[in-house]
Amino acid sequence: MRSNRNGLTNIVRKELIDHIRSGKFIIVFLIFLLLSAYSLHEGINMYHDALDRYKEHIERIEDAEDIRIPMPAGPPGYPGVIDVTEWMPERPSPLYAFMWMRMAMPVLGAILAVVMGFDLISKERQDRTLKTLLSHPIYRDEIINGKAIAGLLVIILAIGMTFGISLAMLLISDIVPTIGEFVNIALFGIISVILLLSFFAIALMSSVLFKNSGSSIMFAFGIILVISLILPAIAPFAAEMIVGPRPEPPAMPPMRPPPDERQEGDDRVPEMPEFKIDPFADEEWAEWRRESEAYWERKRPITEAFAILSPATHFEKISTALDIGMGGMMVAGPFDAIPVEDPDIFDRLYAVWMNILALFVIPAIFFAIAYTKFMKLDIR
Amino acid sequence: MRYMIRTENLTKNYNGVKAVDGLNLEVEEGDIFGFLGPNGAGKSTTILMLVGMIEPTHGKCFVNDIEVSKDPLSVKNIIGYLPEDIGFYSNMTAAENLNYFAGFYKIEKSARQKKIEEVLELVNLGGVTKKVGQFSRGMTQRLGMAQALINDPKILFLDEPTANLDPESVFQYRNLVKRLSDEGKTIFIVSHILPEVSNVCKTIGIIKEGRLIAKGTIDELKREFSGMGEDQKQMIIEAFDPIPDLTHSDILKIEYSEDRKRVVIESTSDIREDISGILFEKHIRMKGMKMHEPTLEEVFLSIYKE
Ligand SMILES: Nc1ncnc2c1ncn2[C@@H]1O[C@H](COP(=O)(O)OP(=O)(O)OP(=O)(O)O)[C@@H](O)[C@H]1O
Ligand SMILES: [Mg+2]
Repeated sequence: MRSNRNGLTNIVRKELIDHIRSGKFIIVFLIFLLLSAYSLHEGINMYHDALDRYKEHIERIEDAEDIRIPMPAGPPGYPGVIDVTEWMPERPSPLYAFMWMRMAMPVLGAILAVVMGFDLISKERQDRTLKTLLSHPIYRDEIINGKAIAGLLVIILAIGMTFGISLAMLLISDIVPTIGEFVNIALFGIISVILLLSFFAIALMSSVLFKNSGSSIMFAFGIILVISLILPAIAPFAAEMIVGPRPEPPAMPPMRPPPDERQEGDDRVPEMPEFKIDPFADEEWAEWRRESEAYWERKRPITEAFAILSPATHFEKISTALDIGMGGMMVAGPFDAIPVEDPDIFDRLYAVWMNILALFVIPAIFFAIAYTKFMKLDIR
Repeated sequence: MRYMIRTENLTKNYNGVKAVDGLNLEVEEGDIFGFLGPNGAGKSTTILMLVGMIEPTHGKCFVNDIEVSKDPLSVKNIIGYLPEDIGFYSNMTAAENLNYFAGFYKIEKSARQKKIEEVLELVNLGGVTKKVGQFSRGMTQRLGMAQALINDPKILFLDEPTANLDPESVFQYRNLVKRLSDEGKTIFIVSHILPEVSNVCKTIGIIKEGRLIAKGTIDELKREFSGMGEDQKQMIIEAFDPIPDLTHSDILKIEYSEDRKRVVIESTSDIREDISGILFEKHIRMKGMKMHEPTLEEVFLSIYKE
């Protein structure tokens, strides 16, 4: 019989006020806001540089008729000479300006979220307010749910403000994103919220596990460090230990260009050189490529498993799928497989659905631990 | 009379140690019940089970005929609880703290503000605008009392209510308890300090090592534990001169001090008039003569020592 349904809202309201009135939170949030804005400012400068280079290049292409550059040797299929006029430059995307912010978000977000969450329960235990609170007609889970909801709301508020300011900065710098780019930025905002929520859930869990706020903050940062830096960092080594060393490439080069017969002072552009394929070496190289592919295929699930709990890794992958911080390359290089058509946003997100799922599951896991432990807590 | 508080074989185990051991207790409606016992006797553990903060290992407890562990929320709605070392949110004022707790009850917004002012006034904290973090321990304790009254409870559970209070505040607290009792509330007070309980309580229960070892009114307890029956009196006589042997038909037992200047008499009636006559005749100069009633303190200590 849940008779006092205002219990949860009462707790959420009080927790919200607590966050917003907390000096600790205000200071860390201001730092977060400032550094985010600064990283975007740097990104905007980079965008402008890229834009200048782009414009220069366009001019050069328009002036020239036939610019051909001989290329060094590469594996089969690589062109020996490229025509710059065919080398289509891509206009830098406003998303490129978010490059630094994307890199800063996991670090700044972890600090902000941990400061918000590390003493939510431990402080109530230390100050014995938890007992006072529980002597009034509320369910125990309403306390931790209320704190989690208030935390989420504050994170949404913080990210909302940060992105609002970011958008304003873009517009002030004469960068107007298209609707599509705006959607990507908004989605980037949403995954930033979930990223921070993950760190917040870790901090909340820590505040349940430790009565002492000092231990709680150390533990929260420790866990974050382990899951987002240490585990992903040791993953390649662990994977190599499991699947063995990578296959050695053959000693012989796969093919050789013909000797350059041009004389000194000869300024003719050479004909497309014909590569001589050594059939024996080629066979060896093909074999090596197959082996390498199989090797990386075996290694991938292991490295991915190591990073499965790392919200920052998933955040990275999804950001890349959203083109956040990308599109600053002046040109789509000749070695890139230029997509015939840009896949739309749904296809791109579908390609990283596992990362999206994981990013949402991580805060749920840590919250579940916090919840279970909190329900069993001895409140004396 | 109906019982507002009732426990049936209430037991709490902590890692195999019984903090409360098969407690059977009844408290009548309107009673001021004092729950007395030495440190670690299991008083707070009992109260925590009664207010639905912890679950009993065995047994049941009922408050207002609601089984607490089955429906703790309904119980919490009609009780007020002052925990031992109460804590408040130090970054908020007394009124803000109370406003938060009041938010968990069905109290109209307008009535809530009035209620908060009223209970703060009751504990002499009206108009105090400091943050609770700057409160003295006594002020915090008084705010704890106000917090327990915020929902106008039928039953009050007070765990060491006078801890940290100065004499003035203790006096006010006693008056408050009596007034609340007059309003018809049932009050359950836990203490290890005898005068705290004997001054305000109508009924007393004594707990030791998790078991109830005595229960009754103060007079009943005195009689039961002083080792003297209803028609048994004890007198002490002191004189400046040695007292000769005294005889009286009502005397049950008589004890003289070594210098014979002090006598303790047990008799079936008050025989002070007869004795003073005898001493006067023998020209013995009297220093004093009084009926001796065992103090609750003595009774209490004798129970504790058992
Ligand atoms: N969480 C716990 N874990 C283990 N033992 C406990 C726990 N809480 C209390 N106890 C034990 O239960 C017994 C009763 O404790 P309780 O707090 O009820 O005593 P009390 O009568 O209130 O004492 P005091 O006058 O000191 O407040 C004590 O022996 C105590 O050590
Ligand atoms: Mg106690």
